[in-house]
Amino acid sequence: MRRSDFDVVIVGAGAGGAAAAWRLCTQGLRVLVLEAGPAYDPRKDYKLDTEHWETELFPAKPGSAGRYVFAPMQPLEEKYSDLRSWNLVSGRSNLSARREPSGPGYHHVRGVGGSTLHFTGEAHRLHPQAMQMRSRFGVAADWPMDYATLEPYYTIAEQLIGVAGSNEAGALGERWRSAPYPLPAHALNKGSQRLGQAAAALGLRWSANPRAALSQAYDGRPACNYCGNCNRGCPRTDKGSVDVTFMHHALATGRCEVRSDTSVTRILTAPNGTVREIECVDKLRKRSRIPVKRLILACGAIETPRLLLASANRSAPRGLANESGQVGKNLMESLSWISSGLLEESVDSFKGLPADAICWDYNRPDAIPGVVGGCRFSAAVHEASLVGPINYALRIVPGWGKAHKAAMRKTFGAALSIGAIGEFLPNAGTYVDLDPKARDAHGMPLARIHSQLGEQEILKLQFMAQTCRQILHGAGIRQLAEEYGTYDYFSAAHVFGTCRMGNNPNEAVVDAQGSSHRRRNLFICDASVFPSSGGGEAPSLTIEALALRCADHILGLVRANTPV
Amino acid sequence: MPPSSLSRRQFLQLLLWSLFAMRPSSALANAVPEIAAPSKGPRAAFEQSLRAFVDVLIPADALSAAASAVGVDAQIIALSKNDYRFRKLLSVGFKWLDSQMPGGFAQLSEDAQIRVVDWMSQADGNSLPRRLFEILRYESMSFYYADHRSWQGLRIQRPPQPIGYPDHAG
Ligand SMILES: Cc1cc2nc3c(=O)[nH]c(=O)nc-3n(C[C@H](O)[C@H](O)[C@H](O)COP(=O)(O)OP(=O)(O)OC[C@H]3O[C@@H](n4cnc5c(N)ncnc54)[C@H](O)[C@@H]3O)c2cc1C
Ligand code: SF4
Repeated sequence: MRRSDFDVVIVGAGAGGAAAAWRLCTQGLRVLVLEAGPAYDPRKDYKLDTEHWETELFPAKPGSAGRYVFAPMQPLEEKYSDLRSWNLVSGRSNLSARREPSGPGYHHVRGVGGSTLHFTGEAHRLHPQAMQMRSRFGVAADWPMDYATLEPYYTIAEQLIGVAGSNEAGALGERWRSAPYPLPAHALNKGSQRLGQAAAALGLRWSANPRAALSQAYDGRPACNYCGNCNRGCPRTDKGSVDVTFMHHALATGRCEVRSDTSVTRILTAPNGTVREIECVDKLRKRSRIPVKRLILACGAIETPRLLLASANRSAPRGLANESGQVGKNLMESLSWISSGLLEESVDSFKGLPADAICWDYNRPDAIPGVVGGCRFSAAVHEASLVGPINYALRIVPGWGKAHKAAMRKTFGAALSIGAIGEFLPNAGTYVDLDPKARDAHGMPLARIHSQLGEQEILKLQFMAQTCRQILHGAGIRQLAEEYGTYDYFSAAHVFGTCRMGNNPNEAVVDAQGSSHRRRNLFICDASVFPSSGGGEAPSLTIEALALRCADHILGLVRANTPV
Repeated sequence: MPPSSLSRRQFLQLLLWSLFAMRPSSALANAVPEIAAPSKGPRAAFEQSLRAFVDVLIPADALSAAASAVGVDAQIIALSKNDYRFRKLLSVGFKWLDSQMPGGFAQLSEDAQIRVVDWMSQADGNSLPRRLFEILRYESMSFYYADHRSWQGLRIQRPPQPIGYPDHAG
């Protein structure tokens, strides 16, 4: 059999794949990264210095969006009509009687950098208590490790990225730290200051959000200039997406090769059950096989289970590494809400760093009365995309003619938005499988997303919506202009849990190190391994910390000459 | 946080899904009496009507130009060339609009044009007039505010980069 030139092959160059590649290369291993999407050049591909900057949420390139399908979702109930999405211009947004995907539904980017190219850049550590949901509340699953085990890896990731945050107790949200943030927190914009006063009047603590955006020049990258458009791609490279952080440093070692526009379509195993080869298709649609010694899957929580299920063979008829039957199960999506309103006068709310402020007060899993699982609140006007005149005109400034022009001038910069993200508990109706019919251009079955909101999620959404409205009201908003939430839409930027990690091989796909319980040279380093979603924390820092830990485990195996 | 704005594609889907089941309304003539006599003569050119329509939606004022002056109508026509359903909506929609009045929409006085558009904006949500209005409003605003000439008088005068907003904190 041919031996691989590479010690480790990684599939996917997103948050998990890039962090693992960096750790392995800097410790001397040779790594090949295969990425289905294109490479982005921040200075050329991002459009924030052109007059068309507002027309696209993130610049699409050929191959930058994956394909998948949705199974029909649950009917919407009139008793929850206060959770329907709407805005002043169009009225109710989802006119159907069912929950539906909003746009692509699963918001992601395929590319070198993965979804972090498009992400806002909140850099959160998980609440320690959110890692014990089964033993404390009988829901989801426990993490097979505690916060203390992950803490050193959080610190390494934060140092590499240059996370800016506040070390004050309220800002840490009950997470202890072994080292301060590498960079000082960012100053809040005027809208967030206003929200902070309103939160304080309600007895809520409002503090600087830890951000993967540079508050000072760091590691050869300039400081943020507060353009407010991280989700459209940061042309200055101060946003800590993994292409300009982990991947940049991995490539600098000379031991990392990245092949973009290359999709892995199948994993092949040897008679002893280990992974032997992968099949891939490159940009020119050339199909080839690459032998592997050790394989890391980091395709994200929708695509990793898809690849494993599509790699079923005679000895693994339910899909590879699926002896537990848990591949694709336990999908957790984003439970989110945003309320927006208009102040009487502009505060230039479009300026500044997106999501610059946060409230952790309801983040602990038992903090919201009557439900299990926490949530957090943050300043959200930029993530709501209320940052330019097009979005104002299309969504929150109704009318037309001369009066509309005048209203645009009066209100632009007056929007305030507050967002909330909450814990999503896994349930039997929310999972990923393979669509029996639909296939991609390479003949691979598409992932099919099933989603069901449980009662706990709906109750949590109600709490999140009410609190958002209260804060806006306290900030001086007399009339709401738009509300958007995941009661009537599937709209997930954070997805987790489809290859759960755990100590029991009958209940989990990978162990605490990210290693498949049964296929010893197969590892998973992405959001799919999360046993629970956390109480609204943004996931990429945790994905990176887990990937670094998995890489250290692999390094240990290599150094101990463990046979593959 | 997931993005919350509707993409253009989504918006089009929302507006166009039942286009072919829609029937034009005859109530317009009651709302704007001077157009009660249906047109017998040749139809005014579609481009002329479209230009007039976008300029009612976004007229010139002391600070900034009208929609057509920054090429909004031309961009809508260009967009329709790549989208069959949009092209169909424009064609069916303007045929209906121009057939409601002698000489077509473009020949009406400014005041009558405003009243026609106002009526369309309040027509039944599933009717052709309302959908034509909604989609033209959506596309006109999108194209207009993507042009720097429209930013006069707004608190944004340039794209966010390369300068950013270092004064964001006040
Ligand atoms: C709009 C938005 C805002 C967000 N904001 C934040 C935030 O502020 N903070 C935060 O922490 N997180 C945020 N997220 C979420 C965060 O980006 C993701 O959770 C994270 O990137 C997931 O990491 P991952 O490694 O699991 O997958 P990804 O980063 O999605 O990477 C997976 C990669 O694998 C590739 N791939 C998939 N299948 C194959 C295949 N068969 N062959 C080869 N390659 C393949 C994909 O092309 C992709 O590049 C946001 C996401 C979005 C979309
Ligand atoms: S706000 Fe800062 S981090 Fe975000 S895109 Fe602009 S310059 Fe980059």
